[in-house]
Amino acid sequence: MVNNVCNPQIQGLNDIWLIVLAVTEMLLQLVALIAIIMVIYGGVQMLTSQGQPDGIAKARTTIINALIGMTISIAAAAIITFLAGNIGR
Amino acid sequence: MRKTFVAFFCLFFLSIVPATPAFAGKVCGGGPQPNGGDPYPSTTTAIDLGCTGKGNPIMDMLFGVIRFLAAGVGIVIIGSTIFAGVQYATARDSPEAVQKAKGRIISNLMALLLYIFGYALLNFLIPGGFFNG
Repeated sequence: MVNNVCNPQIQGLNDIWLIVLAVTEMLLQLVALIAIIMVIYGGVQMLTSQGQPDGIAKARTTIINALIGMTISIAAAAIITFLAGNIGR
Repeated sequence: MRKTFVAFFCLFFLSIVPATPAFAGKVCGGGPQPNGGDPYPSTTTAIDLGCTGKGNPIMDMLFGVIRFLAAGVGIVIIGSTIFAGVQYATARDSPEAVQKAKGRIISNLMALLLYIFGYALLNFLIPGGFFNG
């Protein structure tokens, strides 16, 4: 059994950041789920728009926003590390 | 806000309680004085604050806390940016929600910029002594 994956050993003040890192990783997994749900929501919006141009535009905006948000979240770690990689360690 | 303050207050006093034998404590301070007098007094903390065990114990603890906060800046900003992405994804088609997410991202970048310039300024004032202590 792998029971040590999310079980950080807290011995000092600096180990608090291990908890924050674990939460961040969980959030990163949640992001993909949320993006998928929002794309499905946008698809349903588009299906039920009955050919009205503004309804189709709204649905398309929903899908594009979902994809942009997912991209931002996944690229966040890379961007921040690129901007301030060797600061603070 | 008040709860956070109380929590940090309790953590601080918990940390400077002299360590019982059950906890392997960490020694703060206790190095020789620069003018050659008696060595500094040292104290043992229950929680490892990241002390180096030399010099003035108060300054040792303070530099430990500074190093703790400096290590967390990147992690917190990454987490906040991920949350901004979630906000953007759940904005549906309302421009106000998109603006909120963009504002959060811009705030994150400004915080990072401020931290970088603060780091540069402190390293200019005390070269190599502030974060490596």
